[in-house]
Amino acid sequence: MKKFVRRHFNIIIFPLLAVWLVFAVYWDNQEVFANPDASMYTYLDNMRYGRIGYGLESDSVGNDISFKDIEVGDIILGGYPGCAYGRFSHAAIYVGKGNVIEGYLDSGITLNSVEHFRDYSEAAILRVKTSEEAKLAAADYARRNENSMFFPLAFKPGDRIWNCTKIIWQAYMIQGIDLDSVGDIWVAPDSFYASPWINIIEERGNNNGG
Amino acid sequence: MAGNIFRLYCIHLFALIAVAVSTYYPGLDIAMAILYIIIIGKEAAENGLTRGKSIITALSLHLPGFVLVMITLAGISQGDLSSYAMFILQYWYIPLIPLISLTSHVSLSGMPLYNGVLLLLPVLMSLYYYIVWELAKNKSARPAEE
Repeated sequence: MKKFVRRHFNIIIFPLLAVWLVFAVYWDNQEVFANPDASMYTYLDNMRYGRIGYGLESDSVGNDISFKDIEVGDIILGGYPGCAYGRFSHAAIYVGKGNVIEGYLDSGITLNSVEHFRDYSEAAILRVKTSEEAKLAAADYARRNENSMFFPLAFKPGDRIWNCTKIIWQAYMIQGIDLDSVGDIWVAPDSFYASPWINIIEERGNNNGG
Repeated sequence: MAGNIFRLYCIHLFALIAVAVSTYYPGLDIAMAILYIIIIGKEAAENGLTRGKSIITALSLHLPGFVLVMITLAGISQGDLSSYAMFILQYWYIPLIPLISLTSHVSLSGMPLYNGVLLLLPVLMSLYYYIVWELAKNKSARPAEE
């Protein structure tokens, strides 16, 4: 046995570690795995209908959402038709002067104009029910993480790798506000939309006939 | 040589799963990525191949990486292929993502440094395999020369 392990250590170590880690994550999150609303089940459910990834950009008709009343710390959601993880596929936090901090694969956590949220067929502006100071601090936290790494599978723990929702979730979590309404190991944009901490300021798309 | 390539693919694919899940435990993911580099180095040092076959073996493991980098750099826009290529490239190099993430907050000409590192990984990791093989070969040849 010892001889076998020594000879094949390089081959067997990662399968063993993978099994151990999957079990450990499952063990630490049994309530998430038991929750039928968890984002992984939403994703798997949508895959049955051929929906994979963030949806079809080319099928989007755009929207006419107004950013007139937007405030620093507001969360903007966007969604393309056929998104696998819910109505919305993308999230950003407004940091002022017409700009948002958001996460993309090719540019990481980055500063962009809010205007591009009109390209989505689904859009919403969410306001967090908290103090101005907390909202400014959340926006500031997001700005300080500019150029950080984007990784689509970023789990909630840690502050080295992000996706578009985790950076916003963490920015508010530090202020003592948990915006994840599902309590998942990942945060989906729809989880912000359903959060009791949120007021919906504006929205466009199929869900309100806009 | 085919056996060596098969071993490398097995190691890489299971490391991909293990490292992806280990990112749930920040810190452990970095240890796992270092373990991956050590094991790939061990494979190079102990492969018993000639120089040419070692180079082919290294390039074979990183062939998907080279193809994805070329698609990304060529900016092939057919069906938005280039953005998907970058996406798949990041998944292919999950075993090294925790280490690359240490370059966070650094940008070059407005682009995050980690993207540049990601695009260089097929070359860097092929070189790593070859250099370890060369060092191991020289080390094993030294006593005989003395």
